[in-house]
Amino acid sequence: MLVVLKKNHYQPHDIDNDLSRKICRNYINALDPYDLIFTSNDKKEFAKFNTCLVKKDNLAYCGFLSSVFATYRVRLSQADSIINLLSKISLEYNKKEDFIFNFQDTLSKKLDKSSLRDRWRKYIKYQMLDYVDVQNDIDSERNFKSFLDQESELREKVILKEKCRIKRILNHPSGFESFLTSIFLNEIAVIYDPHTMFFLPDEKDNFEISLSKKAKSFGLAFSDDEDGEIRIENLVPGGPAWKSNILNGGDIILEIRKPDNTLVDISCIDMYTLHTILQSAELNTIELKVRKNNGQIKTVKLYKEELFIEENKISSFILDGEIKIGYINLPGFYTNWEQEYTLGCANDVAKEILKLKKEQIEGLILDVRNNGGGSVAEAMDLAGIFIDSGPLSVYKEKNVKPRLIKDINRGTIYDGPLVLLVNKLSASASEFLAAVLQDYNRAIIVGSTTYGKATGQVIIPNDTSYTSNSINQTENTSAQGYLKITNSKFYRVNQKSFQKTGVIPDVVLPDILDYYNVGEASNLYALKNDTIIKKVYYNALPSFPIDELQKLSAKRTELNTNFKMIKSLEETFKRFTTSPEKISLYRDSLINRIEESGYLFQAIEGLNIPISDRLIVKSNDFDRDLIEIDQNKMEINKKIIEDISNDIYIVECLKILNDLITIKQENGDEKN
Amino acid sequence: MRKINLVWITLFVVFSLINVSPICAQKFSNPVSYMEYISMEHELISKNMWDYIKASAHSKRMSKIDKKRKELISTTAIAKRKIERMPDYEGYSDLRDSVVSYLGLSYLMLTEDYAEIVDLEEIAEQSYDLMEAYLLAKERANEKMDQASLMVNNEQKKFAEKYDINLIDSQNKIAQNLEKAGEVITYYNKVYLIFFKSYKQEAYLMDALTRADVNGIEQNRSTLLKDSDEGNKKLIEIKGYAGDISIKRSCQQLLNFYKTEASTKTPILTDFYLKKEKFEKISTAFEAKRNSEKTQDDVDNFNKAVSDYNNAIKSYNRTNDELNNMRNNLLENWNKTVNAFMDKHVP
Repeated sequence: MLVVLKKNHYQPHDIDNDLSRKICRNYINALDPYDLIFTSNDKKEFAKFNTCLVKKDNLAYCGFLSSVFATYRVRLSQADSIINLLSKISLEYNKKEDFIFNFQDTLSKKLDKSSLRDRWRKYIKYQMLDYVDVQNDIDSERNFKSFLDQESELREKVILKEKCRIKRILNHPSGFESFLTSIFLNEIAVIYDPHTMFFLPDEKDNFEISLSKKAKSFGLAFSDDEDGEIRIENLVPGGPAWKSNILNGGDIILEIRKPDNTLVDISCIDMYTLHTILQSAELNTIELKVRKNNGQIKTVKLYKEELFIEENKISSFILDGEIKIGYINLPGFYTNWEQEYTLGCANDVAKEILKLKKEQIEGLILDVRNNGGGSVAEAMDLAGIFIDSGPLSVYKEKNVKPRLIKDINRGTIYDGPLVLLVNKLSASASEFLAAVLQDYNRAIIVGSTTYGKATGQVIIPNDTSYTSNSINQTENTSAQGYLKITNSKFYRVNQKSFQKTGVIPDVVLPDILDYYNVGEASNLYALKNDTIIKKVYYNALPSFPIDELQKLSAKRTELNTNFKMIKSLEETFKRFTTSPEKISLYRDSLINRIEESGYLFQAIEGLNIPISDRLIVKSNDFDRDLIEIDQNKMEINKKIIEDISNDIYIVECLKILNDLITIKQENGDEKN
Repeated sequence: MRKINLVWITLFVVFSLINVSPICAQKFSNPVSYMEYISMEHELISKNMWDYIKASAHSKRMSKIDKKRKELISTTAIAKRKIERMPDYEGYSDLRDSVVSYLGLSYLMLTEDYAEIVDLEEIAEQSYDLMEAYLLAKERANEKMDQASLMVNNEQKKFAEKYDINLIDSQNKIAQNLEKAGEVITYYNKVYLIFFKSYKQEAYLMDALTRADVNGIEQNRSTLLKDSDEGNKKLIEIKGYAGDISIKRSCQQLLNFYKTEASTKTPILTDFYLKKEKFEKISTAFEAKRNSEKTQDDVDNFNKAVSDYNNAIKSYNRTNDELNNMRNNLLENWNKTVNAFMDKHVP
């Protein structure tokens, strides 16, 4: 893997002793983040191998991993025994004590079997906090008393959860050693940059499906309940599970049998692992045994079919306020990874805009909040919908001259007033789009500063013999897994970069996410921000009256109850989102924490627009009868419309568009 | 004072030269013979140029046209080598050097080796696509040719002044023909560029249609509409050539076709793709519903979707056929008109 990284990563590192030690220490920390598993002696033993990455790149000879695997297996079993004992003893809530989350690799700290036992006791106590109900109609003292009454029952649930976590590691579907190796490889990968990572073969399928519009699937989603049972959450209408006429939502899964007659071990399985197993390209059929609501046991065989992925479909809506506005939410830059000429999300947005234009919209809001990116090619095609022609970005790979990325189609589909709504989780391809639209003065960017990821990744087999001219070829299957590797950087047409800095909106609105330490800049190993030297010729449109729009928006947000509430929560939120080094487990401290989290929860729940002030939102005319014929779609649509009408950011975007149109009209009147 | 005949010639790639009556001389005992040696080479070039232009204008055989072109290229290359080997005249080399430079550029223009003349990378960066890059490269190269040609003229005047040679304007038959041909071709190019811009843009639109790429269809459609409108405005400014408005009219017909195609016909095709997708989704949802759950509204909606889709198919096919027929006829007409125009006006 080191050879593959050196060959293909944009900015590869030479692994020296320091880096090798860091990676090995990080790995031990990843396996034991709360200092509950390994003793100090174990860590001292591992430290002997810390420079193994420099000495040899074949770790089997190095001895580090084999030593860790053997010790980890033993210690996990010991942890399991410790946890079993904790169901029989009191956790002492009146004791003044703290739980220190991690000793930050202090080898001098004595961690032996006895101190580990005590750490587990404290750790379980800390986990119990999640089970303290926050009811607003009674005081926190009474809340706590009610918790103590159910404490032993709740403790059983926490203990079961922790036992399952251990079991999942020991019995991982890919194999214990294979799973642990993949964690180690990821600790190496992340040193290069936060977006380089190692995938086991099935994980790669999972990743690509999340960025696709269609995928082969059994058409059902699962959830697990507090009792550890797995239920069918819902069925995709028209999908294989639906068509079986045997399965229903709420059915409890008893067995999942694979074609080779082996059973998937579903005791203690987490939903991510279960979905990864079922979405694997190699698994095309399963036999499910379920218990129905009436107690009957049924068995059914399912065959995978190609289905639309609901999360990656888009719909457009009409907002009727001071002006008629179109609204499109884009959850991700999905595409068809297998084809050269793809018709992905950009094509879908184009179709939605055509539907909206039939209804004479006066402006458009494109919402890419929480859109973590995806296909940059789709982002380019999407930008092209609004930009006539010209360069969109400067693209740079290692040892290659920078080149321009251009709008592939001359012309536009929509020329009217446009707002792009972003937040801190709008990343990568979303930022690419935001930067282009801002640099061309084509859209007003509204919201919060974006994530700050201006790097591009490709997925390649973890194979030193791999070379490809078409670097996105992922049809090759690799038993050695895959690397998602950072191989490029993107720059704006003004030659600057949004790497780490993000795209700063033209109109900033307060957001709770701003209080969280997320974003590219929060990653220790993020690539730096720099500029590129390249002549770029582009014709920007006339500037927007940004100062005026900012003033008008600020006036509104200063008076708006919801935005005022968000601003007032800044200090409290920052306290809650900063990872503490330790937490007090003393009863009074717990009560204070509960009160504060209750207050925050209440405040967030209270961020609503009064019903009389809500937007009138409806689906576009073209799709109306399609929605009406499909009960499932109708319900989903209803919920989406409710959410849009109650979204303070969308309302403010509509007002900003209205300001823009008014200012333009006034300027037009002055010229006349 | 000796008088030297000059002949101005205009070549279709826009370079002009002063031609002097030929006298063959290997040794240059006087400045007139020096200038005349150069002009002899130019005579050969202009003869080949004329043969090439005649063939392009009047012959249908690509092989013949190509043969003439290759002869012209060869003649230019030989002339350049000969003049390169000329000594300077009494230490004065500027005239020779300017002609060599000019012939070097001519050769590159004829072989379309624009990379040697202009910065193609920079041009590519500034251009939308290969077509635009090609036209921009040609334009920049022509500018360099014009500068080189001006340099030659200036050096000839300087040389003539220095040695008391009187340069007079006169034209032989070939030069006159080349000048006339140059005018015809310049006129044709003006109209052709207007036609070609929309023609190429339509090709992009058709490519998007074959892929059912609604995004590509709509963007290219809007550009085709803009280009055809702009083209028509430019055409209004262009008069006929010697009263002949045939290629202008043919071009206008094509532009009007593209305008109709973009404004009213392509939306019918796009509508088909939207209705097709809607029909497929409604069908899936309708079939997925258990019979006991289907309402009368569901059945009505489904039937409406079927009917809409069938109508959309008919409109799509009808529109497609219309466009294909019209396009083929107009392009055939354009080609015929251009051939007839060249035949008539190029001597």
